[in-house]
Amino acid sequence: MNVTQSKKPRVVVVSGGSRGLGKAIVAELLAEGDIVYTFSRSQTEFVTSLMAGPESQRFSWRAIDGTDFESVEHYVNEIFEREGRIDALVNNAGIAIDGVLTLMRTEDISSLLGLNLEGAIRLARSCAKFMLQARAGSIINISSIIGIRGYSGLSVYSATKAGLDGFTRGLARELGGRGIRVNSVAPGYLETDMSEKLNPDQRDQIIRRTPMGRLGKSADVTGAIKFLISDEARFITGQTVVIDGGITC
Amino acid sequence: MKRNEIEKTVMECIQRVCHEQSIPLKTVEFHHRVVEDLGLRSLDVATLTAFLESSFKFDPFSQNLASITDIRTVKDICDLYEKGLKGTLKPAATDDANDADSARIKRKLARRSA
Repeated sequence: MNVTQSKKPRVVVVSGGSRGLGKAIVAELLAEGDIVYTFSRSQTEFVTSLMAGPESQRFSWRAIDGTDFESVEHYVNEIFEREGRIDALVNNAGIAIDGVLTLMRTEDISSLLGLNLEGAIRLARSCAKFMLQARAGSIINISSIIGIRGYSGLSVYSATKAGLDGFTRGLARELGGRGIRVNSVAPGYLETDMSEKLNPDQRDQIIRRTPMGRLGKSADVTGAIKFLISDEARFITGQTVVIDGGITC
Repeated sequence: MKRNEIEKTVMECIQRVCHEQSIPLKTVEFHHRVVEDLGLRSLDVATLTAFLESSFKFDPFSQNLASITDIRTVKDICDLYEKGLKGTLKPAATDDANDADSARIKRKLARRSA
């Protein structure tokens, strides 16, 4: 059995699906007809409207901090109890904290590593247990071009995203024989809540250096995610797909 | 859960993994070693523990109550889940192992730099 051959809607877990790229991923998957489970620290208008709207039958949200590993694992177990399967995971939750390494607070370093890396690894482990039983599944880790190229002031964030790409390759090898695919998607600078921190000069500089001449949009990324989850990507695993308008080329 | 129910579930899970992986299996005995006698590879053992977790609603490994190296035979699996379900498992003694590992690495580095 593979992810899309089943006529049933896919059951997809998306971490951090209340805003930014995660919100766009949730909306896109719901539009595809999937059953989407997501969690984040706080409820947003987007979440409230989905829970009250026609998609409420296929959408579930829980207030969980991604570094509360035990609660995340319980939530995944609950999803499996309810649905009987987990077809795909989009490991999207993440934070970006910048700063010169020697001036960074230890607490910030721990938060970055805890959510961006350990949180993603532990969520993948929770879901992979069920995917192993089904001998099918697709895991997408949301990485970043920051993990591929060095950027001053983002060394720790970069380490978490590069770590995530390494995790993708290792896990892809580990689970490939059981029909489970693992890939990374590495967006460039997107017009999301996280890029609002950029000042106009930084923004202009990024646009100048981008061959496509603009910042990315969430929709530029969700198409690749949909594709990687789908059966169209059935022979693609262990890859990092860079979606950055060419800034790293 | 009674011991015989645990044993029955463990046997069923082993048979399911062997069947799905086309591992030839005649009979499963409690003294059989999971890797050497049954022929399960590491990912098969991972799949087996996933089935066991779904059946028993309990995962001793992620809760640090056991290490996969504690399991050699089918009986070890039954014992582990029996203790786990009774709540008599104690956290795995990983610190000692880590200390031993780091001491070994330190000795190795010291020999290299000498």
